[in-house]
Amino acid sequence: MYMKSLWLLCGLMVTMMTATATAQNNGDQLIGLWEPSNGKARVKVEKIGSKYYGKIVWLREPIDPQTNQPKVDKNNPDESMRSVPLKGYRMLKDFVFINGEWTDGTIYDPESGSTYSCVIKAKDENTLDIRGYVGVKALGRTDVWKRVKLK
Amino acid sequence: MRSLLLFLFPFALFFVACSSSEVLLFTTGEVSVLASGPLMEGSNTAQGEYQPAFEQWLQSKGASMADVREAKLLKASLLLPDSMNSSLMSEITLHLAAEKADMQKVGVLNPVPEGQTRLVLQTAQEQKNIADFLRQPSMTFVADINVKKDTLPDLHLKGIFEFQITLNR
Repeated sequence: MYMKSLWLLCGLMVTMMTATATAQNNGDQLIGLWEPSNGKARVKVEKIGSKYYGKIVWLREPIDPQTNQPKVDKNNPDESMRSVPLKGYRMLKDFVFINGEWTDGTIYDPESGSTYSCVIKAKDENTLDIRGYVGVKALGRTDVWKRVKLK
Repeated sequence: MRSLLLFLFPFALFFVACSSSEVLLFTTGEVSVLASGPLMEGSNTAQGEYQPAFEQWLQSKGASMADVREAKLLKASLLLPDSMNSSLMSEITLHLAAEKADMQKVGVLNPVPEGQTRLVLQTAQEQKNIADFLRQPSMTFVADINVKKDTLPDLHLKGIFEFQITLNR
């Protein structure tokens, strides 16, 4: 009887550990290279600590036609940070994986200089719904991002 | 007029007494910042984890967390190994990250001057709640480094960061 309970307990612990590991793995599904629907950029998502961050690693038009120089964050509200290059720019910040979605993060729109709350859901392993919003999730806009597969 | 000044004087005295502050510098010493190779042309991430032990530092100054009015990153320097200079890099952006604080961009160097082994970044004018990072047991300095061409080895940097701490006294 005692032996049977011990085995049951061990089985339960293994199940819980597997579930935790699976949850972490699902969260890491966000890691990789993604392209927004407009195709203007590619964003590399990586994990720092336990949170997920995404930065622009490729731009379809990297040169600003007005300055003939690589594009910078010219719309940043902080003037001292307007020389930050868009190539390498962290536009997704501080996402945590909870209940099957990446939440509590923000997305930055370099074209307007605005930052929005954001939630990310995986439609499948190669497609993301990225929803940026102000205040409540219902008042927002969703974009579909596709995973970029490197050859 | 004189009676008005006499009336206002105690309030002015009270205001000055309440708003007195002390400014201190909190320096990290050398923090190892590593970008694991191979580095690819374009943006690469270098990270340096740091344990601030900020509360102990405040105690050594006769203060506590409650006394911190404001914290700001004042200076950020990156030291390159002797074997290389900055010619490989084009731009650097520095962020702070931590478990219980939102990532914040705090410095930039664009363009990176060529032939240097010590790089001093321009720090952000607008910084918010920097003390939230220092309060935590661990924080990460994240340097996004744009490199001009693919290169194989890891990039080992040393970072020295100086924070200005304003205390209520």
